[in-house]
Amino acid sequence: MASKADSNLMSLGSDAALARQARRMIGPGLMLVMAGVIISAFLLPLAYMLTTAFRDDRKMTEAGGETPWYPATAASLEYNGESLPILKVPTADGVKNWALLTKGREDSDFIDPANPAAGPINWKGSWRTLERDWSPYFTLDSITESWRRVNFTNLFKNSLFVSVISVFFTLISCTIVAYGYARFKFPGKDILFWVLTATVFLPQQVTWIPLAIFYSKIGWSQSYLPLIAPALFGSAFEIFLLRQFIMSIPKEMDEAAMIDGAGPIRTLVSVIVPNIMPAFVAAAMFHFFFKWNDYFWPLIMLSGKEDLYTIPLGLAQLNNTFGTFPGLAMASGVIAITLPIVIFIIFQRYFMLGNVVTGVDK
Amino acid sequence: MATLTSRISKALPKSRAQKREARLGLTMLAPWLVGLLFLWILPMGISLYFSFTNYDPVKADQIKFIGFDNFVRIFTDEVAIWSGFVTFRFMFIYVPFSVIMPLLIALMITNKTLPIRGVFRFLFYLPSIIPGIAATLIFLRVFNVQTGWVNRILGGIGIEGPSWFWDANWVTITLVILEFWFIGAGMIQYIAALQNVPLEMYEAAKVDGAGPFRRFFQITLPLISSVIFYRLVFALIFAMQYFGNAMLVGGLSGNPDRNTLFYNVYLYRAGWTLNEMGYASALAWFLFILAGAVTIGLFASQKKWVFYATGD
Repeated sequence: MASKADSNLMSLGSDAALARQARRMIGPGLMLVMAGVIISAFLLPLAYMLTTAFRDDRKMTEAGGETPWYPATAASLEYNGESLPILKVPTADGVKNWALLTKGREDSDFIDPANPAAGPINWKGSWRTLERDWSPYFTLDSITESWRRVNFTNLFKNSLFVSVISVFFTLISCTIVAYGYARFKFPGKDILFWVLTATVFLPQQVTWIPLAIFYSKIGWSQSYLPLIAPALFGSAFEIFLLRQFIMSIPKEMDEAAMIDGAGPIRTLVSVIVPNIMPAFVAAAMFHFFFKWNDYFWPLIMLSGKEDLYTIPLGLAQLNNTFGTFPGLAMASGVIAITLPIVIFIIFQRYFMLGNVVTGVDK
Repeated sequence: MATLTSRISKALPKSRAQKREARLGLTMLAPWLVGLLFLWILPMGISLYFSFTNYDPVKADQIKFIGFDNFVRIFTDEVAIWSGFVTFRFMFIYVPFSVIMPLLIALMITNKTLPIRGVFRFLFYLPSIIPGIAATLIFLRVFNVQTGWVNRILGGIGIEGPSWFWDANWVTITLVILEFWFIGAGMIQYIAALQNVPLEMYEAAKVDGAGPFRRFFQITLPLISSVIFYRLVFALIFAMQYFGNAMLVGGLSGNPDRNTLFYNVYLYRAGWTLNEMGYASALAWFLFILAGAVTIGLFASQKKWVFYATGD
């Protein structure tokens, strides 16, 4: 009797514990499901891009709407120098995988791949209702073809050249300007800082026509100079970011260096820069991606000079030429976004940091 | 700076020390000041001058002062007005969306009951680093009426999807959906701001019997209002200058049926394909004045509703 009661009590106890544990799991479980659904919808275009880029694009495009969602290919038969699609044909002996030889409205001729020598078999019915024989398939054909057709080697070279040189110049100019703003007192500083902030927000379009005319007058149009030269004069967003960081370094550190006889530039290089490395990397990343993704200004300055095109210009151009082949377009998408994603994964922390410093801390 | 100044001033007469510091400071700013002059002030002046002329670079010798004609033309040019409408319509949907959506995602990601929060934060940020042109290229295919996944999935659950980018009534919404991919920066800023809200304030409000909604509207919202303000300014300015993605979707004619003929696309068309650079300069200046007015208005309004923590 007693033992039975004990076991009842025990099972009751474990049920209650289980229920408690289940309740504790429900909250996180529901949140995970909700977040999972949202992120799946959010990243759906990337999934589409990947499956489309690595599929047998020609066959899947020609087949039209009813194709598998996964990267696939369809079987076909080489027959008398022709490539015949293999279809799933319902016959009296069950579904046969036969190759379509001649298409007809009411009836069509098929070849049995197992016995091609037997010759055409006539089948009554519309071949259009038949399904192709799809199987999962992964190929780099679209990647290599779009790489070749868009000349990505050249686009990458151009984009890297413009972005890396700009980042180099902009880090030097922005650090010096940010140091000036963070550490020195001079008349008109508040107004100048206000102007700096304004240039982040105000539309630069108002300067483009005179600048484009000026650059073409001095013979710089259809060259990288109009894309790179502005980096020598700093960039408002990066100056702002670096200034915030310099201000967080204790002033005693530069004073100590100055007492040791270091001038402002020595102080900047040996005291400030080593202490703002995270901001340095963040500013470099921001500027790199700003240049890498820029579309309007390269479009205006490089228009017509295809061998100088950067990746966005090349992509925009191919969008028109790839027309009906999604696989080629998506392969070029994969190529174009791989490097940014790799850089982001490596430097993730600095992106987050840069965003927080410029957007939250004032 | 105060201590450094006082130390220098011990060695030098006060005014000379200050002059030296001012000179050094302005020297440091020199690269940016030169850039400001040559990349902003001078071009702005020249484009203001152009905006009062019929300047056409091909017929540069025939340049003529025409007064306010270009500005009057903006208000009588049916296509310019239409492009303003297209831009405003986009702004009307995009701005609230781009201020609120990253906040909702940030609230979800900062919720302590959600497991693997870091992974979600990473994944929601990820598309933000994709070049806009590449993202548009991908979306044009995903939203393709025949082969894209969106309509196939909708069809699978019995909904006949619209023609998205190819439907005059849907293209604006589809562009806003595309911009959803770029919530990363806003999300990170909201997350940081939400994590800055002192927990004691929630505890105190709980003790006072405030429910989750009251706690959100009376504690969280005021404390993150500076980020909301920043996102709002950014979104408005961004929408006014919308260009690249629209060009890829609709080209110079703004397909479908001029519904992606944004103001900036029209400006580009006037200046660079029709060579009417005088008129394009007027269009650019009009945009500049509008953006300036909106920015100044917002900054002036922030005293009323934006809360900055004291001692900052």
